Amino acid sequence: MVALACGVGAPVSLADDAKARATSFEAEVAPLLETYCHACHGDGRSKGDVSFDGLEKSVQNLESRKLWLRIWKNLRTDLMPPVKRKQPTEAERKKLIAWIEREILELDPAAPDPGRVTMRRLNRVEYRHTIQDLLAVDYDATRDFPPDDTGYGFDTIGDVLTLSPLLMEKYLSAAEKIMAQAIPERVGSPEPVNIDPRSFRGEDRRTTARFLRAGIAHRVGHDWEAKAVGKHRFEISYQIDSRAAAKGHAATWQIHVGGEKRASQKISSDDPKPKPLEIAVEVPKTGTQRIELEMVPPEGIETGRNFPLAVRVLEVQITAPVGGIPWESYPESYRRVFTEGLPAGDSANREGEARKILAHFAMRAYRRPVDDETLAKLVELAKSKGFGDQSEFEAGIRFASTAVLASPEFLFRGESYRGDGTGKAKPIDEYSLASRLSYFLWSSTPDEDLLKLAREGKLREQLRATVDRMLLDAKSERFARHFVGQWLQTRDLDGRFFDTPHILGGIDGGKARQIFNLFTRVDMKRETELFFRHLLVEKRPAVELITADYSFLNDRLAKFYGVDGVSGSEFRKISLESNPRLGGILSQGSFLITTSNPTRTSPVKRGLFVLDNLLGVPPPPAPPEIPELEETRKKLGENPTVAEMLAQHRADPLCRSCHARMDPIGLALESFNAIGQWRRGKDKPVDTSGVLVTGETFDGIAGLRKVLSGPRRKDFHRCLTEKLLTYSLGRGVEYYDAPSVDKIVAEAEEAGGGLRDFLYGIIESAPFQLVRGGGADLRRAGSGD
Amino acid sequence: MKSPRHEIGRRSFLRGAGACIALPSMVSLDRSLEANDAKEADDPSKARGVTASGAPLRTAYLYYPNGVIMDAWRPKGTGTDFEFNESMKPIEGFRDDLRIIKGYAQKTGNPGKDGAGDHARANATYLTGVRPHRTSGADIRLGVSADQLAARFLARETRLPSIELSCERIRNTGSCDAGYSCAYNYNLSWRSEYQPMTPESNPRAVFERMFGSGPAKERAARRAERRSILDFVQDSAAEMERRLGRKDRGKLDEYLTGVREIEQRLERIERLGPPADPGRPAPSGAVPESFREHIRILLDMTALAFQSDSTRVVSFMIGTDGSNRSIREAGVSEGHHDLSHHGNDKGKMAKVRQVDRFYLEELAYFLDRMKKTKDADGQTLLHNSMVVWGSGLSDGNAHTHVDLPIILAGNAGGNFQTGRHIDVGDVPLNNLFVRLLQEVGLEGAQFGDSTGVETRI
Repeated sequence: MVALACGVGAPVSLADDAKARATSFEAEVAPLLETYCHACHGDGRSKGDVSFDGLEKSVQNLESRKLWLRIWKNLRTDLMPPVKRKQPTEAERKKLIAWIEREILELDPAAPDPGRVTMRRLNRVEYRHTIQDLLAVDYDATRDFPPDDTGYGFDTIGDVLTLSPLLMEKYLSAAEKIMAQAIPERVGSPEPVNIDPRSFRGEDRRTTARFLRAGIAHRVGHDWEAKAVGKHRFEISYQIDSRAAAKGHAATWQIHVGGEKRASQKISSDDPKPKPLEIAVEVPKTGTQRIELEMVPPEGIETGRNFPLAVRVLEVQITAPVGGIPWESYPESYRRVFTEGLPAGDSANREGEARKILAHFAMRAYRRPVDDETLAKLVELAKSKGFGDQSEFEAGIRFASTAVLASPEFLFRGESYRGDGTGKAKPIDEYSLASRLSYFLWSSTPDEDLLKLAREGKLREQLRATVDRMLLDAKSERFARHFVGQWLQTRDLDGRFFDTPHILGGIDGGKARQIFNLFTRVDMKRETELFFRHLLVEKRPAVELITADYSFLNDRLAKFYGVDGVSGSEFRKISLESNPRLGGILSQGSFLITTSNPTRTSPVKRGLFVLDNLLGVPPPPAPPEIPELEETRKKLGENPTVAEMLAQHRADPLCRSCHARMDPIGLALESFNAIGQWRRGKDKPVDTSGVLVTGETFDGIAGLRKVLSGPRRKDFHRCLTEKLLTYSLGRGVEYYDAPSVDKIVAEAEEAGGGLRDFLYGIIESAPFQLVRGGGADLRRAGSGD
Repeated sequence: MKSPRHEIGRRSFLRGAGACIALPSMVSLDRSLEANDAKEADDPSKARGVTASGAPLRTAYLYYPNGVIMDAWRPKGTGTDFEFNESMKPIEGFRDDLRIIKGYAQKTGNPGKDGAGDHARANATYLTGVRPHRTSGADIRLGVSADQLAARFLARETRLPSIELSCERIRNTGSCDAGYSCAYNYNLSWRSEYQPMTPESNPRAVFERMFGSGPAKERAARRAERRSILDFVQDSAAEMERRLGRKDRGKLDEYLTGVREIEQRLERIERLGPPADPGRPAPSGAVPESFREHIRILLDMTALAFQSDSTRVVSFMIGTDGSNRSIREAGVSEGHHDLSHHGNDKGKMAKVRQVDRFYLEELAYFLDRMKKTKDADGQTLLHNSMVVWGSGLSDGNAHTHVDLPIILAGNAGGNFQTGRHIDVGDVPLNNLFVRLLQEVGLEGAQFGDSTGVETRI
């Protein structure tokens, strides 16, 4: 995890310092190196191409510094000296580490370097959640935006979250789409309602508005549900039916709404296709209103059934007035923007209203108050749409809000402002802190409560209470989904293919699909997320990630794992006390299949995963001169078993140094097949015992769990801390973070090692809370301003 | 190099165009002819990226992963007298439209001091000829790619400078290959050392980039709105910049580059006119489940982009190197990458050959489309194009970055000889790209590890 800081120049230090360092080196360090290291790395020996000869004379030189970093790292993680060699006492090890940190790395635990976070844009996951929380609009950014690049295993890393022209284009059109959805056209009015003329019935239940004889006095009616009050527009399209020979006949028909006559219209056989009848109807209250169409035959002539004139109604359309629906029926997104309620009917103070609305919206979107100049420009944009009636006003707000969503203050989390040039680290402002918190725990924008605390300057004061509140909020499920999804790589589950029939020993495809399918993977992902969130919400120890004797299962997944007595499709906590081989992340399908090949398990990948993601000690990548696979294959013959290939790793010195670290861990988990099921019968592995490179022995998953949670627990805690820091800060963890990491681990362990204690520690740490002074701090050249 | 540029007269051009649908290509051909009329032909900046007849000259870079089984791929015999090999059966019908070239290398992809990670390097070096800086952290660094050099040069000519496509939608978390950032694995096209050009995988989105969405009359109004919004956000960015440090300014610069690019596009639409009716509905917003269908609809979009002269430069990563996709349409269920490490196992090699053939069927599909489409000058679209089909590895089993399996299809408007299998020896692939850039009018564009210009094609 600790990257070599390239470009770290010679530290600015006085000659006296150099002399003091040389003295302390001779006195404290040199003897220890000679005792424990020189057998392999000194006096002309250079095992693994590492030699300490000449190291002491050039502590300030870059190559030397890199070597010191390696020594320091290997000491911290107990990788050196190797277990077979003489071991320094704990005190000696600490002394060496402390000397390197003080003299070479120049770390100061009392004033830790907060490091530097590059301003970063929202990734597409955060974008989606932000829009959801800001506007209650669900915009599928994962579908529309290209995948984000990742760094250090996470998609929150400022430096690699580049913004390509394509993405900028998408941001702009997303802003347009989102605001068009948030403030729809004609928003205040319900959609025009079309009423089928056949639903207008007469007293006889047979007559409908499809055919109204003008020779008979009668009515047809329909009960209409008024959803709005105010002036509605009724439009009745109709035709006149008259026998071809019959000219000059006329009659009258009338429209009644709510028992009141609203219109009366002459009809005539001379005008067979009249214009639709349009009337305005004031509706005083919502609810059922009866609409009636009444025929009034002409007087003084003979009428009746044979009178050759009739009305054929084609359609009755009712359009409710803009603004007619009650405020509560407006879309949620609309009410989020128009915080002042419905825009007033008159246009006297449009500008003042717009200013209020846009100040609030921009504050929410920018996650801090908007400056006056920007606000004035936004009001101008809104004004350009006219400010006349309500729909113009809405168009203006829609337009200005679109600009807000396309602007850099929204798209970038601009919290990493330049230091003040004093060289001293200082706290980030509380708005920035609110953003850091909410993007960490919610993958989204701060809510009103967080912003209020920031505005009042009380967020730091109430930090832990705020974190607790945020974790209890359902939005924290996103933290489980996105942090765990990347840390433990459960996000990748969907895209993986498995040759299940082959893995299960040649059963047919249909049967294989019944056992393992897309649902299984979705369930596995869910299991791991629920498990993690449980630890967080219930304040369980972090190490239960490895040791838990329970999990979260539904009937499908329980059956898959071979756990009895679970029925129902709901996930719930299930005790695994009677299934001791299960429990913890190591037995969860999400981990087991993520680390498998399509046709078989890969002990190497499983081992690598544990080293990389649980212990934080990834082996270096494979060296360039790997013998041709073909050569190896020749030695082993066709179709070697996994075990034979692993034996080859051990036999070849080139492979051994790293594979001795990975393979035993993977082998301990060989009892699980490539899709995460416990192997049975002849499929069972022969030997699952092994030894860690740090010397601990184990057998099978139970033994491995014991070692990881016992002697190697501090590695796990440190690894977890580093992953959390990386994810939350959006930058890689560097050597200068060591004091912060150590402090977080120590304090969390002190407090009982709860997963939540680690979270508190992260949030209260220097890198999370502070920003570099900048300017004067030239010492870390190359890694900041 | 290409002296008789605008020989074709207006009348003969119109005759030639008689058979084709209303092509916006005509607009640009008109423009270049008009430019000629205005005696501006001597000024190379006036007619960039056109063939001898004045039709647009298009460049497509199509990338497929993990190399091939060369013994079944490489034709037998060289020159015009060659015989297609087993894997190449699908493209036999296009013998006279292509040449197969042996000997190109991307040696910056060799392990050297960096060790494992050949797939990441295969992707990264393919269009750049630059060794990627090995990192899975923040400091990614590569170099500008061939297509982006062309795009920059031709930017004024079309509504879109370039289009980048990919079938890769799912991206693994973390480093993608032995400590290399996924940025190297998923981006063929790089605008600069630090900035990859993110490819698009959704066919609908590609379509809408070319032709816009919504009714045409609303689009003009939207363009006006967009101008105001872009003005506003540029002011905001300027305001913001004052508060930022150096690195953050770099980020903001990416933003501003994107903003300016949209502005330029709006300007080009005003100048070149809006795109013509593409004559087909927009594809569905859902990405096809089938790999083959996904490839084909994106190839359709490529052809459509060329046909409508929306752009003259396309790069398309059909699959990322190291891809372990199981290509069931090729009748293979194992992952391609796993199979490519066949260790000379006969059964596995047979399956890799099936995959090799599958990919060439896709090339055949594209060539067929390009050949059936008439261009503005009466030639086929394929005739007026340069299609580079290749992979960043030759032998997937041994991860070799030399003797890459490269096919160059199309005639560059008649400037290329076709129907041949040639051996160029051992030269950087970039030399071929330098030639392709020369064809569109960009002279002397040495980049990456190029050592000259390919003249033998």
